[in-house]
Amino acid sequence: MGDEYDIPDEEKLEIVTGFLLDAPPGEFNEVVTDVRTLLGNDDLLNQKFAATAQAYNTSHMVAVDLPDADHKVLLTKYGEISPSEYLDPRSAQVVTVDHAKLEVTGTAPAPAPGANEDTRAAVDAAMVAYVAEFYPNGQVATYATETGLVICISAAKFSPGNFWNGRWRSVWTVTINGEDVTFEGKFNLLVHYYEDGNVQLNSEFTTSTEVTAATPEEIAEAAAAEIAREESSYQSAVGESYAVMSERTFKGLRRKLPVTRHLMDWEKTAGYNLAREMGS
Amino acid sequence: MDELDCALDLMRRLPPADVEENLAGVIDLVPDLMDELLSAVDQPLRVEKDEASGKDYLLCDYNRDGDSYRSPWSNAYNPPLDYDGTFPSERLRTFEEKANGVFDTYRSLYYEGGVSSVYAWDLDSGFACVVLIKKTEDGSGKKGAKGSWDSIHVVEVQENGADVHYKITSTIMLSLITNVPGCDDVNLSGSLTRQATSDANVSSQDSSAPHIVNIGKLVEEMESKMRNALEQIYFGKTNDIISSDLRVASGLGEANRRKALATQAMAEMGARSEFVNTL
Repeated sequence: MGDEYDIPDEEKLEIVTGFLLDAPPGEFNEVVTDVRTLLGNDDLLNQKFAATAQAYNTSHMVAVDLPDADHKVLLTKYGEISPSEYLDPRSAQVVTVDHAKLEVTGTAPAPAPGANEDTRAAVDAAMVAYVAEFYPNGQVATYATETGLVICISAAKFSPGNFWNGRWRSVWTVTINGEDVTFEGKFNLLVHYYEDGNVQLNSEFTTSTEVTAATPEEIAEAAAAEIAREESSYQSAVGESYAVMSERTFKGLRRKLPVTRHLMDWEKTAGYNLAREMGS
Repeated sequence: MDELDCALDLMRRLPPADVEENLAGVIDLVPDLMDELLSAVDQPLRVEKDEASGKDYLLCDYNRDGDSYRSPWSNAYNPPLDYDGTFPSERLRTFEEKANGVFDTYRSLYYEGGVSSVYAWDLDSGFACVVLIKKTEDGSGKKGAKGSWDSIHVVEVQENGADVHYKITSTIMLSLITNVPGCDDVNLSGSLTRQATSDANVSSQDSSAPHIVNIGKLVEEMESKMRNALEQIYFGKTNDIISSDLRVASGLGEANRRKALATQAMAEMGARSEFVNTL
């Protein structure tokens, strides 16, 4: 085949960027290796690579190790100061990150926190306890915003040796208006299983709830309670989906055995008389 | 890894719900590999109507010539070709006609609906065929379930006199979508591939029936094994990952307490069985 099938470089780059952003959790580097070979043009790949890696990391809310800390930093768009600098509100630091290596290359003190730092710190402490209780591989970051808070939870487990990876993400936008506190949550669940195949579970959901709370302590208590309830309810709805898919859809597509409860009689159906074929 | 390995590795990672779009993108990147990729990567089967017989048939790379697809019922290409297309030999066409009838029965017994097609082609020392079955639930039924099942069984038949060697490569693509209150669309989709071989002695070369019986049993055994594997992986494994590795609904304190209780119970049972053994 000749050059007539070649598409312009910009289109190739667009395809490759789409593939990178679609990489399952924990498999970004493997997809990079694949597309690099398929593209065969590192200069072209590098034109957008840094921006793509950054977009992937912040969309997946990837956690990176923070030197001398007992927690990891989440890379999220809510903490983004520049494409390579992220706020870690808990340690009050700004970290510089290498998106390709997923490493912190430098830290600096964060600018002085805003007015609702008390609320942010109280909610963060409650969320750390909540995440530790429910997410065996989870990290949380709580950011202060002009209208309230944003809470990001990212829980991932990578088991490439067993051909599976998965990630749970939730982002809670908390709006504080006097004593009215609203919680708007967005969940994203992705599981990839790929031994002799490629099976993916994908689910997204948004929800919201409202409470009355005044002090930082009350808001923290409400956050933990509301988020726990909403996330548990989503998780049980996902469990119910599994039951529906397994009990109804799957069984409705193909039976385990024919209605007769016997394997098919191939000889009879094919009109194959063994005795006659053998000439006896 | 060479380009083909990378392309296949990539297809094992990208969302299976978008396999057609992803494959088209990969082909845009490496157009020289188009033929290899189209035969190596399974895509959801498309259904077309054979106007002559009024029956539906399935489209895949094995009954394709250019942009036309051959119907197993009429043996005609649609749209018609303006050149001599690829057709099976007379002996194989006889096999194909019979196999389509038999697998139609198989399909109705296990699927209670859907469409099936069998296509055969000649090899140097035997022949090969593909058995295709597709069933779709569009959510309009009384169960409201939405999903699709595509079976693709490629069988190579090596004939050495009466000794016949069968090699089957089976892919099942399964896609399920539900919409229960409290979580919107949950999409569980993908594909699994398995291989198996079997040997047989086929003394009657004149009839296609022995091959159909042998291939039929192979397909039936494979589908039943793979149905179990799909059940375990789709509903067992992925669900386990969510509930034990991502979010433990009962809380880890509770989970740890339960684990401790289970360990204790196991120890007690162990003690009891030792007791039984000594009786």
